Amino acid sequence: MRLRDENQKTGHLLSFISKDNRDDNFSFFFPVKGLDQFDTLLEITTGFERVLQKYWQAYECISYSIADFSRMESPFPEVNRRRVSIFEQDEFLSENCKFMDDFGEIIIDRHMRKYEPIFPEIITGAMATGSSFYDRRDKIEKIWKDLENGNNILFRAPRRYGKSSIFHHISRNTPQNWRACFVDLEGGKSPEDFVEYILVKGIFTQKDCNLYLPNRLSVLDIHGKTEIEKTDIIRQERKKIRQDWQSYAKELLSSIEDKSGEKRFLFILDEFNFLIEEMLENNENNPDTVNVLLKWFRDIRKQTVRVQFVLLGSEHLPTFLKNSKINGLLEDLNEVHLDLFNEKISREFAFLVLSGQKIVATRSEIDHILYLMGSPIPYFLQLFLDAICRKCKEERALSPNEIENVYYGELLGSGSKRYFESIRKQLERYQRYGPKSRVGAERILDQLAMSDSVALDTLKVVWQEITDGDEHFETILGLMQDDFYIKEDNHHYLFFGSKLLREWWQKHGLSGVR
Amino acid sequence: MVELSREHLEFISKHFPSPYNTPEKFGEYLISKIHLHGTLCTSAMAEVNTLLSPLIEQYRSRFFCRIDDTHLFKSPASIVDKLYRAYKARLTNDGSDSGHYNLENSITIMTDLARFRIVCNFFSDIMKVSKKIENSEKLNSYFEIERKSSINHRPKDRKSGERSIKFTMKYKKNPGLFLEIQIMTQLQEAWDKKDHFLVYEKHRQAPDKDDEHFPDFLDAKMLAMSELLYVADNYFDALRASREDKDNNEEVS
Repeated sequence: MRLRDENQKTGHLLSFISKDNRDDNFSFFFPVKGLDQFDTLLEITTGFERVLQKYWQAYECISYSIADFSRMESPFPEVNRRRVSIFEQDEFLSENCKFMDDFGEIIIDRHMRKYEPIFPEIITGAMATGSSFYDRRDKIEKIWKDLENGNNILFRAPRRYGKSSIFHHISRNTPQNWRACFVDLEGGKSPEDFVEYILVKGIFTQKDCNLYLPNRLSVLDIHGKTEIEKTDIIRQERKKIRQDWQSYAKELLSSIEDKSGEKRFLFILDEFNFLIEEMLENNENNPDTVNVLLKWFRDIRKQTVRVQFVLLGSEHLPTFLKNSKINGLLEDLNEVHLDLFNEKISREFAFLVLSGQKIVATRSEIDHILYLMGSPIPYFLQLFLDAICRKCKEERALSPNEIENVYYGELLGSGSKRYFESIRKQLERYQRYGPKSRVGAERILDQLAMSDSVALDTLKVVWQEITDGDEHFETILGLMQDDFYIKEDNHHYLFFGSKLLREWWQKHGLSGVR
Repeated sequence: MVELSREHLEFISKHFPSPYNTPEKFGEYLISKIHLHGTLCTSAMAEVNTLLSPLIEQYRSRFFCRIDDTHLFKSPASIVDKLYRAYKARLTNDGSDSGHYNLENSITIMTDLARFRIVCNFFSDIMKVSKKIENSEKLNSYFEIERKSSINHRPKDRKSGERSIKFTMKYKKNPGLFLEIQIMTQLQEAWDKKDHFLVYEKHRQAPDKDDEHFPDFLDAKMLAMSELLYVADNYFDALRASREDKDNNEEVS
């Protein structure tokens, strides 16, 4: 793995030109050093021509020999410089010098779709948006199909799988007959908060949602107000919500339903499980208030036609509700799960990210990265690629051993501690299930970190020893499924679903406990 | 750029395989056939660039040479023209060399399908570049190199106005793959560009109609200009030598 050499001025320009309009073109420039690269250059050009056959009706591939990269307009006057990417041949060649069609296809595909930027940026923490939001096309198609059929959705996945990113993308890329409103429910502790967040953190933040509000609110045109005036309006509305949240919500949702006309309105409610957990904690684990909210919400879903909902929650949400004696209130929702990137997509993603950072990586180096981190949880994959890119830019090149050093020394090192803090902090949440729940969970993680897999019964014994009983054992395991990617096989053996997190726990969790 | 006549189009329709036997598609057919030439041209150009970089560095205080990457490939229309003339020659049995070409063998026997030009400042620069190419171990390991010079041709041997050194490079691993490298001065290149537009294309299409095409003796005037520039190039080189060689000698002493 090395930094790309972009100083070579002579090379081969492969230009993909629209048959309808020559100005619509994009090109790849391959610097060439000499005759020793003739065979590989031929492999590359033939490979791209093969890949382009999928688009032969729309585009043609023309190659140009370029003496000086800065004067590429001489042979190809219409070249769109903004859409010229420089690559080294090695980025598309396997170890035995064969063109790698999958990398060729993905790069052509992103250019054809005119993604900006072509190369996903490294996002460590915030939601991935725009073209940095990667793939998931099949899932998005399924979601829209479900929604078009009138279904409401419970969208589940463990933490850091990219639930919010996918729905952020959906909310910004709705079909014409849809309007979407993204609402983050984190921090909410009551049904009143639920309604308030929908209004304040959802509708009020989107100018074009104003016309859906009840008349008394839409005439206020909150988006045209000063911050002080906005705060005042919010204060007044909050007061009304506190007086009778159900009537308020009914007025709001009826207005949206009535004013949607031919369109449909989608509420995306993120961190739904946090709201429920906080509500339970707020009521000392008494499920009554949650039951009231969820029953009311279920009725609303039955009544509304043009207003639809997607609830984003952790994988454990149904078990969690069941263990909290809250039953049957989300069963009308269509369940959709978000899986991890498969091997092919992970490899393509790593290739694009590294290439975007001007780093030449061979396929085996990319595979080595993916092997080291195990399950390609998007957040961790981004962290690892970020660490690799930083190191490679410092050193100009990294050997496979050095890549391993980045993994063990940097990603799992103390310097990256802050990236894992939020995961570790989840253990504090567990204390709401008893003062010893946190230690119990830590012991379970210890056991799982030390063995490839551990029988469910063994873990139960560990839990009992620490907490003096088996209460909340299943709830905690459910939570750990989301927070620490703990998985269970068909023989009731549990294991870390993330090699990286297991190794992180071995390094930092075990010693911390001891 | 060669314009296709009715005869050319008839030739395409009759001799090119379907669906490429149309004015719209024949180019696609030929371009796909010279795919190898393109990559070879880039690789050779890069090799020559590396080869010449010490010379460019040595003469960095002035313009030494540049590689011209425009018009690297013979245009499909020019190839068709060449094929058509060969076809005609065969029919009339005129015994000329052009009769050898046909659609099947053209890609492997035409030596100028891909070419690039090295444009030098002075005559002596051409010689230095030429020597580098001829003596390059790397180039010789990949190519059989044939050198033809028209720089100091005697009047009786002059076939065209341009004065240059041309290398025909036969790729050893794939004997039907050729590349041409042309080396000339800036003045010769300037003349060539003007002549191509004013005289060359018209003369090539109808060699026996010069009287009709150039009643004002434009062809003769262009040839005379070439000679004038040849004199200019010689004189410039002498002027260069009076300064540069003197400076070099002083540096050595």
